[in-house]
Amino acid sequence: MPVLGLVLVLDDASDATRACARAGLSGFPQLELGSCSQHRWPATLDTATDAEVEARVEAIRAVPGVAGVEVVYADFEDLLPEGA
Amino acid sequence: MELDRRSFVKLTAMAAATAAAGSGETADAAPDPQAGVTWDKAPCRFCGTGCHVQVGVKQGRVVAVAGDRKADVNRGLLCVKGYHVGLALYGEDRLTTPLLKQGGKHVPISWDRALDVIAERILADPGGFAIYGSGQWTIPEGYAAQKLMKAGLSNNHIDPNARLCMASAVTGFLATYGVDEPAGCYDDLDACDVLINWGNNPAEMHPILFSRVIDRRSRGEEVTIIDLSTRRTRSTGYANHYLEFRPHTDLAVANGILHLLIANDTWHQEFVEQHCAFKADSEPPSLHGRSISFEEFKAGIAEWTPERVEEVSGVPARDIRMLGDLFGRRDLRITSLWCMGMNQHTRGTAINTLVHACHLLSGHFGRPGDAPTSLTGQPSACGTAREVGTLAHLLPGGRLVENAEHRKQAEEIWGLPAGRIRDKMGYHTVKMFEQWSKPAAEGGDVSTLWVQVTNPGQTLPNRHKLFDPGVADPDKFLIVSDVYPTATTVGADLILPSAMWVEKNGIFGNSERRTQQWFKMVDPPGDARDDVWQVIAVARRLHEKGHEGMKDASGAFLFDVRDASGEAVPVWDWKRFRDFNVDRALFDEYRSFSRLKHKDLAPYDVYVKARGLRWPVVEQPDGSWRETRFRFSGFDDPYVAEGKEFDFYHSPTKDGRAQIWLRPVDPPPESPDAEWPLWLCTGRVLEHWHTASMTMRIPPLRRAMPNAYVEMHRDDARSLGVDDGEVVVVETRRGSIELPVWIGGRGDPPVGTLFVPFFDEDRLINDLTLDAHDPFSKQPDFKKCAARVRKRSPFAEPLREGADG
Repeated sequence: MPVLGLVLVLDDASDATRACARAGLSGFPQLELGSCSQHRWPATLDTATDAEVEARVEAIRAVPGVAGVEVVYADFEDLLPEGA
Repeated sequence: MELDRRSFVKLTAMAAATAAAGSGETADAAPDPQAGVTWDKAPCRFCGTGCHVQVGVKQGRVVAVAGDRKADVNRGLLCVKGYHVGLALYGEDRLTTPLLKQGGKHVPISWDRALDVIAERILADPGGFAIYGSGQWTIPEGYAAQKLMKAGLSNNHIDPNARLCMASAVTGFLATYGVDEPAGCYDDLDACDVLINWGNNPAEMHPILFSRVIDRRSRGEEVTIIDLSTRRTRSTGYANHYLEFRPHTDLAVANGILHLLIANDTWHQEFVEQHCAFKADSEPPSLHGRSISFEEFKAGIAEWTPERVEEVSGVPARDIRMLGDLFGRRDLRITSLWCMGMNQHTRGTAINTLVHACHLLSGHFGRPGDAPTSLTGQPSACGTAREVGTLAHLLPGGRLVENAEHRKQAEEIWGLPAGRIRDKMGYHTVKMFEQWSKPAAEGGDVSTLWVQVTNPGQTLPNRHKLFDPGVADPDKFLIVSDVYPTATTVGADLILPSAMWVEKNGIFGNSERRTQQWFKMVDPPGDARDDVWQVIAVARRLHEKGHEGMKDASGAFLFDVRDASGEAVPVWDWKRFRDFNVDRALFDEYRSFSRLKHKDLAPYDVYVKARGLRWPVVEQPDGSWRETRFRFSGFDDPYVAEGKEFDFYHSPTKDGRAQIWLRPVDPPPESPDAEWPLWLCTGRVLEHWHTASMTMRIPPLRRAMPNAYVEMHRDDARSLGVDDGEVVVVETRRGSIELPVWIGGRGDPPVGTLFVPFFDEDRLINDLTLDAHDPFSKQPDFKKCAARVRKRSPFAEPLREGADG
């Protein structure tokens, strides 16, 4: 199933916003956070099925402190039909 | 082993994300090496933004994509469609062999037979042959198609689908500056203090561009976003000010700004006196109108007080004053963005010129962040449809078929006998399909129509009038080149399977004048072949059958290409097509046209190394090639005379001046009334690209948005007695369809307004839309017509759900 590389854009670069977002994002076990750079937080999203992807991205976008979710990488080898 | 691969993929994904989240330093464009995966650059296949992706190929398949960190356009980021773009190649129903309709069924035939069928149709009625192309054509594809028509067949009946999406932007630029395409570029989004979206929803339609502005806000910068719209959209949520106007009254809003600049004496007198002139409509109407004085302009705009604008548009007078005040300030930089909302408009040319006028009269022009900029919906609407000259009135390089000097230039570049190019413009899109749908006995003189890389069976307005009759007429013949079955292939007499995106070489030109090149990376499926090969092979078959137009003045084949040793390469032979880079040959021939209107392109090989370059691209003394970000501005545009701050060097008045237009506000061709009480607006959604012929084959996107719907206000729903999700009948004077109601969804139309997206081929909203069009651009108005909604009969068949429910 797809593995996505994400950049989470926070509302601002403050510690409070970062803490708020971290608390909200802790509810997403499929999300692995990297090192936050100012207001931009790299992450990977590894879902069990491709059907989950859009719902997860939308849910992450709704976390307080998160202004946007940008996708920078997608591996979809597992989604290709046989013989493609 | 699986764990190892997956862990490796996650490391690669995190490395890409970390690089994109960082300071913007771009060490490598591609992600870190991954076992067995090779990476190369390409622009995204979908919209006109022109994001660059790195494409990961493994064992002959595209298995991954990443945002290209070296690309200025998207800086490593991708939208939901962009990161799924590789999957667009692998729908299970790809077209893989030519299919000829026989006995009501599509039957596989050989390419050789298909070429014969096409050549015989053309030879039987060369003047009745037409090509309907696309802003998704690559530059070489569009160039070859228009050369076949205009240089080979002496037939100008070729027009692209871009006529339906940005033709009014073209006429707006021509009427204002005398030359097409935006002066500014995406850099304006990094510098503006105020962003005005004129009937535009970039959060969904151009999300990567919009994210540049949202990212600036997150960094603490202050950017005021103004959303001028007829309904609330996802973009509205980011706006400081939402100004809702009644459909068709955007002209009044623009006139209100112009009025206030004069009334408040905040217009930029120095800029206007040095660089602008004034125009008004003429009688009979013409694109360039008549010149008027400043005093005439002032008198004409005087009626558009904020209160008058409020009366007409519904936008409160205080908000019109707010806009007027913003434009009147010198300390701010203002960028306007627009797309279909302004262009799909029976007054499209007029509103385009008025937005330019707001920027010119206020002097908000030509500095980074001060720009009126139109966006395109297709990846090469600018590069191919506009610049290559695939429109029915154009030749390459902005030349006109009705201008004798321009025809002579083209005939010289192509080495044609004098007089080969026909001196009468061909049919624009609506006219072409009227002539296609009308029986020959009634004057319908388009007998054979070749559609490439587009889906008019879904996108034409008033389909029952413009598409269906031609399909049903046994004397008419429809050829369709495409990658998947569509609403158009259903009606085709001959279907040609095409290669797509990285299954072929290509060059696109995006919304900011950026020309972008890529190489073939994987093989097309089955016997699918490049569109440019299809055109050349048809030309060759006509040549073999003795059509004299397929030869130039020296007797050489129209698409004669030679290798480095001077040997002719038979690229019409599919087995030899890949022996030679046809794109390079066609592009380098085409670029000699580009200099005729200061849209200079660099040689093909320069684009191989770049992530696109914005024209004019001019060679420097050291042999390097320099792009241009801000046209007509002395600090950046090489064609502005030394020492001048601005120079509109293609001025319609031939004096270096841009034109500030005075435009009346006319009523729309159809308005709600007692019988048809609602406005109907159509448009796009984030998940699907236009008619969804590609994105519906991508399972996550199909699941995310499986079918069309009708958005309506809850008060309208209540008065009709319908609930959210209930299926209703939406109808206009032209047709009806059944759609589920969505109340309080992604978009939120006001009372009296409906919105329906056009991506769903099972629910063709264009059965209902209006084919009335702008008198200059010939672009139809898909954004407004009169409609009504009624409850569905309790005895009706259940509505078929979209794929995967």
